[in-house]
Amino acid sequence: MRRLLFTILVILSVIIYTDSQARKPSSLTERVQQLTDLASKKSVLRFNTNKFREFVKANPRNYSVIVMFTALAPQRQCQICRQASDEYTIVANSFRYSQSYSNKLFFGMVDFDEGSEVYQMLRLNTAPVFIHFPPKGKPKAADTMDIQRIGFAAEAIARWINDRTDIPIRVFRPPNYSGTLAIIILFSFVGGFLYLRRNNLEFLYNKTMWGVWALFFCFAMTSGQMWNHIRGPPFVHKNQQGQVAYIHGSSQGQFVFETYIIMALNGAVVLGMILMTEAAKGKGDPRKRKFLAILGLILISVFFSLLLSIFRTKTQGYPYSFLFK
Amino acid sequence: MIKFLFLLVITLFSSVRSQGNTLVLLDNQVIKETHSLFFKSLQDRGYSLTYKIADDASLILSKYGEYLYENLIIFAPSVVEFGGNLNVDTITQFIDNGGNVLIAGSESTGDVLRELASEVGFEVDEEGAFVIDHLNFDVSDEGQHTKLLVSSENLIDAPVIVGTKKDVAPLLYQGTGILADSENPLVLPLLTADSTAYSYQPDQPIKEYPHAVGKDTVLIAGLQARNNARVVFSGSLSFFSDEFFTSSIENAQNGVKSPKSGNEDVATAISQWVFKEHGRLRVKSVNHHKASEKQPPHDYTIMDDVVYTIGIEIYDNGKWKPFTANDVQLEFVRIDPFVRMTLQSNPKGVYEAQFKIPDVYGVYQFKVDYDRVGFTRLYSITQVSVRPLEHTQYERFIDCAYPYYAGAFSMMLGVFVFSIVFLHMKDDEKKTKGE
Amino acid sequence: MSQAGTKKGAVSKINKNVAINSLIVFVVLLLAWVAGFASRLFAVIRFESIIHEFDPWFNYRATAYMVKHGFYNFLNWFDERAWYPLGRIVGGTVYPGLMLTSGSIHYILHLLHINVHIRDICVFLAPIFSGLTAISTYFLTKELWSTGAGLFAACFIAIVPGYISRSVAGSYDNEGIAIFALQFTYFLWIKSVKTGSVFWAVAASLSYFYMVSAWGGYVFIINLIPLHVFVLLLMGRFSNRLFTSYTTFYILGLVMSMQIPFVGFQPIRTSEHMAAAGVFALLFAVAVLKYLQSMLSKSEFKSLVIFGGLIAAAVVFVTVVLLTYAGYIAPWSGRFYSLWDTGYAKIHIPIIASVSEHQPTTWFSFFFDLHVLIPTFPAGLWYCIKNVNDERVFVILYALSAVYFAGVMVRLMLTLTPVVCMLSGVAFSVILELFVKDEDSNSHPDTENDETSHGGKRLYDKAGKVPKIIKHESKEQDAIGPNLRSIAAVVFVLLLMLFAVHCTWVTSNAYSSPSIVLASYGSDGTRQILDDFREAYFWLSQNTADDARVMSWWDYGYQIAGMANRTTLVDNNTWNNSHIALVGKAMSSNESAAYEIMTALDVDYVLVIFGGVIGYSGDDINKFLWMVRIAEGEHPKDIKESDYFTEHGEFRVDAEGSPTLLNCLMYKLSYYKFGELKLDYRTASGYDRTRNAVIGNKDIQLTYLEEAYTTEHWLVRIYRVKKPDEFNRPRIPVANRVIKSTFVSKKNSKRKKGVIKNKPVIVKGKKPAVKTQ
Repeated sequence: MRRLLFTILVILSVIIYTDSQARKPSSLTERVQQLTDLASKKSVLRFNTNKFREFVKANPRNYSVIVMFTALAPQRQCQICRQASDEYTIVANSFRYSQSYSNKLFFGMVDFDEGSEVYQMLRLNTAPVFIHFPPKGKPKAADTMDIQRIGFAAEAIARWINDRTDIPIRVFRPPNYSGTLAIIILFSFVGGFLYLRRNNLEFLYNKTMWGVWALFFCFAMTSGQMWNHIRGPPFVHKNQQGQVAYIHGSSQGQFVFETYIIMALNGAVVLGMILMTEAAKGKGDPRKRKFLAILGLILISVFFSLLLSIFRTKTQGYPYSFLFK
Repeated sequence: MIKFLFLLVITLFSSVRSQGNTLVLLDNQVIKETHSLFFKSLQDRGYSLTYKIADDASLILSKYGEYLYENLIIFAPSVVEFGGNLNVDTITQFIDNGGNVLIAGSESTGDVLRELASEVGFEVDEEGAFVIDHLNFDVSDEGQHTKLLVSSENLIDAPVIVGTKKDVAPLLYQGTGILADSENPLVLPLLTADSTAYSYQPDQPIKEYPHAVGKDTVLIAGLQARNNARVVFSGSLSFFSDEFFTSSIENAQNGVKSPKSGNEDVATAISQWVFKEHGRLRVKSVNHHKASEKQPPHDYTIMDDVVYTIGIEIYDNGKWKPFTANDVQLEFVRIDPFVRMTLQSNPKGVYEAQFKIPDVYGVYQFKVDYDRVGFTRLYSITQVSVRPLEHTQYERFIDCAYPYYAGAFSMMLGVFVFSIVFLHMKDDEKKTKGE
Repeated sequence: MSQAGTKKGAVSKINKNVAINSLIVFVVLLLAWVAGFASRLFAVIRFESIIHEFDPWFNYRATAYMVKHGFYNFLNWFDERAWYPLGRIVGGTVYPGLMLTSGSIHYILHLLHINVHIRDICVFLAPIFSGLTAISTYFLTKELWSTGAGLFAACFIAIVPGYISRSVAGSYDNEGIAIFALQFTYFLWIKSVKTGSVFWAVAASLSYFYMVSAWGGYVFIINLIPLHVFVLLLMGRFSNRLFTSYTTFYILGLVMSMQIPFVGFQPIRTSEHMAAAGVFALLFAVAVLKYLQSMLSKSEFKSLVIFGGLIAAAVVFVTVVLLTYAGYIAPWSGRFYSLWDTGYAKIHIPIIASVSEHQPTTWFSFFFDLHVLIPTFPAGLWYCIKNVNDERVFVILYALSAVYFAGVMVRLMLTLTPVVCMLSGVAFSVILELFVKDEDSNSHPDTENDETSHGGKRLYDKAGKVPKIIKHESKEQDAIGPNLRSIAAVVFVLLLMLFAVHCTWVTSNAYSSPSIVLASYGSDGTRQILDDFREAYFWLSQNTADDARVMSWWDYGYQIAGMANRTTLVDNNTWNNSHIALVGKAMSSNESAAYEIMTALDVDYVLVIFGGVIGYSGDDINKFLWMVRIAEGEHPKDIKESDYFTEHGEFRVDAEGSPTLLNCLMYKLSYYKFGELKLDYRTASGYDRTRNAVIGNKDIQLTYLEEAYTTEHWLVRIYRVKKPDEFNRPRIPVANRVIKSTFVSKKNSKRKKGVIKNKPVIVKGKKPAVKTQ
């Protein structure tokens, strides 16, 4: 079925192709005019095969074209294409509304499902790819942006374009309203909640709740969640043999899962200390209290020993341990 | 305390010896005779000449790290390789250490001289090539139009090198052409050929474009290196010969005549320049101070008025005499020049400038960089630091702050009054309570 | 909780108890001081009494200058040897507290005719101040909880690695005295909030003034105290005591902090300080409202509060925003901003991101620096929240903010350390108080034995317990039982013992390296000292002109100035990014482009650090990408980071490395003549031990520089920049010549005679020709 569709598509495109060939190639000024018109409507021009031939492959040109080759169709399941496309659109929009806007540079894109021939023509087999088509000559090696190395953040794309075309683009990101919106929603929820419970604000004075929040914050920070947030380490490490390492071997790094373990261990020790005090201080059933005290003591000693032994595996030549090696 | 003031002066050798030892390298002993007038003029000026044949196996320039000679004359155009431990490297090293070299080539210049020429920025035209001019040649020419008569107009416009050129008769020249590296500012074309000249083998048909044509053909080239060593390369050995010095000349085409060629005058002037009898400058003294003071301060403060003086001397007939010019400029530099001005001269050879230091602190340099054709480069740097205002140098009371002063004092007054009232009231209360 | 509360018996007995208690407190604090001081001396004992690392060298140089020339000359000191040719106004760009402190100690000692060299004062200043920190921590914790907790906290902070890392002997830096000032200011602040006395508030502001003069971290105080006040207001804990203490503190602190030249007008012009001003205004508003409340009816008051509050908040906010846009208030500085937006520095400020101290913190670092305190301090926090009062709100906020900042930046672990010590002190004190209290007769000798068996260092364990033991005589119903109690006591003593040995181990292994003297250990345990840095600096000071200008990467600026006493272009005070970028550009350009920059900057010598011979990883090639990045930030046209990577995006120094890298100045200077060096039999020549690769460019020729000095282990290499007249003869390279000639010398050592073309053969009786064609 799919093959059939594909052949039809190919045939169709061949027809269109021959058709466009048959047409008199439009002159340079016409093309520029068309492009400018298109660009004023939409900052990123969608090219299919024959449009690509007409505007990008045709000669002579006095304008550069940046083309993103991508596969946005949902069935292609290309997550990265979507992100790249967003960044690319930001650059194109920044250019369109910037002072350096001119008809020397156009932004285009070719979707695999619309212009697979172009892919074959340029011998591309991955997506996304960014290629700069200079006004004169063929694209050189440097005209293909190296996503592996510089990434595809809007700033990186803009810098690359500046490299290739000498047109500076100052990236202007549309302010991210989602954060603000989330905060507003949160505030309105909290506000609404407070308003609904306005006659019973006792819970605000609930020290246990505040205490739990504060402790949780401390555990999060001391277990290195901020490091995770900034560095983005993997959850766990799988090596070639398929073995899973939960603890990072060196003292310089950590895995996400590892930090959760640490958080839990810290929490257990604190819980143990609190249990012990409650047991010693509180009143009530002596046996229960005794049980709590023993439990607390065990929690402290066992989990602290665990913590220490994890620490020991990460430190070279650390001599001390408690209960466990 | 360390003096943050230093002086860097690059001039000639400070130890002044009017004439130095000179090594003369010859193709053969005959040249000594055929060029006797030139050598005699050198000896008359006090040079002690040591003649050696260029392939002598015992040639040395230096012994125990000391140079035996100050100057080197190579009148051995056809030398292919020097004898002894002389070679291109030792000679360039000699130049790099400040030695002066006068070289004469010919139409069959040897390879070692070509290499040497390239080391100092010239190139000698190919083997067998003469400078040919079909319009300006002497009547005594033998038909190949290679014995040229070069107008003194073609001398470089620098009296310090070639003497006053107006009253110089046309010059006789027979030899090869030199190509100078046009991108190099240090290379000076001392004498160029006329616009009608070119350089080629005279007995061969011209198949390709000559390497040097017209004014681009340099006949005598000079170089003053950055260390002020001087090198002159002449394409013609016979330019310095007795025959050319003394013969009468007549232009075969337009018949201009003169009883004697200008060669002797020009050759003498060039030899005086290349051996640093002419155009040798030095900085005698550098002084700077604030406008109101006499001694250089430890450091300047921004916006100070500063006076800078520099004394410049020129070497003239064995003595240092004041040098007068009106184009000596001073720069006050911190990476970029902040002040650039022409120094006022006085007849004693002392130049002075007075200016206000800019409103930017940092480490500055007084820089005098006097670089004129033919003269040694005068480069004097004096480093001074310019500091910002000290905490006592700011304005004490400023107009716009008066409201705040008023506020502060009224506040003090208020507190004072308030405390009196407060204490007084308290007494009253106590009294009323007591009552 | 204080012991004075339990009064029993005659006055004399109380006096006796008080006396014993204060004696114990005194002894414990003294021992804490001594233990803290002693454990900071590893570096001095192993190496010598020497200033460490980088920044301390500048502080030392500045202190020596102040001692020599007097305070006012120091204040006006224009250092023309730094940042050549811009110079640096040292007096106006430095926190002078450190220099003043050691300068006054030096002055007093010399008044007493104790002739101590200023260097020794500088070396031992931080260890001495650690004792003062312990004492002020004791006072602060005592105010917050109890004497026992205070003693615990003091003992913790005396030896905790998180603080030792910044205060070992020789680490002569601002933080060494600033933590003391920080803790002392907080103590005085708590005291003034408790009493509402102007006296304590003034004392707090004076201490704050000292803190401002000592460390840029004062911003933490001036934000935390307003936050405390603000939260107290939110909790409805407004009081006249709070009003008095904050207003006094704020006004005096503001005026005094502006006396430090480096701070200047920042307290009224930058966003970092705006919170304090806002809270000041808010406090007045609340005070006025409270006053009005007493005069108005309830409904009137309610509407007034709502509308007035909203309008006031809007007005304040709009004013601040407007002033910021108009340029009167500077927005947050980059370093500060990177605390909130954690990705900011990485993208925008390479010079901040390049410093390892500015990286986020792993859990490992937390545990490494704080050990048992990390899992126990939340318990202390829990008790504080459960038994909240005015001053405990402060410690809660202190803990929460410090733990956040420490998570973002390794460096700020330092501010977290004191509060962790305090809260852990609280936690331990609470538990031990409950578990060691009852068995008066039994446990007393037990713990005594404990103490003696562990030696002097263990004394602080006891400190928390002893007062409690004496105090609690009332019999409660005991549910726990004596056995469990003793087991618990033993477990906790073991924990604390582990902490103590951990601290010693970490201090000895991680924080006691002076970093200008390296030590390596052979397989047989022999120690080899690598003293290359000082060797090179000494060479510079002895063999170069007094005014020679040395170009190096900024890390070494302070050391060159301090040890070699030569002019530097950039140094660790990274105030001028474009100047640093210029040096970075010179290092990452090819030789001739670099020479242009170096002539413009009058560079005489270039100094590079090269670790390839001994495998030292902190060398310039490993830092090189940062130079490129910083240079690219300022000169994007000339330097591109991507040029320094291979096609696969790797940074390699071997033959596959990018040609730009293999020809840049830094590479050439690092590996000059290294290709000829064979380190051992197994490896090829030119094998770099740091990067485990054979270098890619073995035949390095230098045109514009020449090697001047290389130290014993090649760690430091110094090159002299040639003057223009040394290489600049206008040679025409063979390739550019119009007339080609192939000239090969035939001379050798035996045949010294030259060759003359067509040398005429002189035959007697025949006239020789002058020229032979």
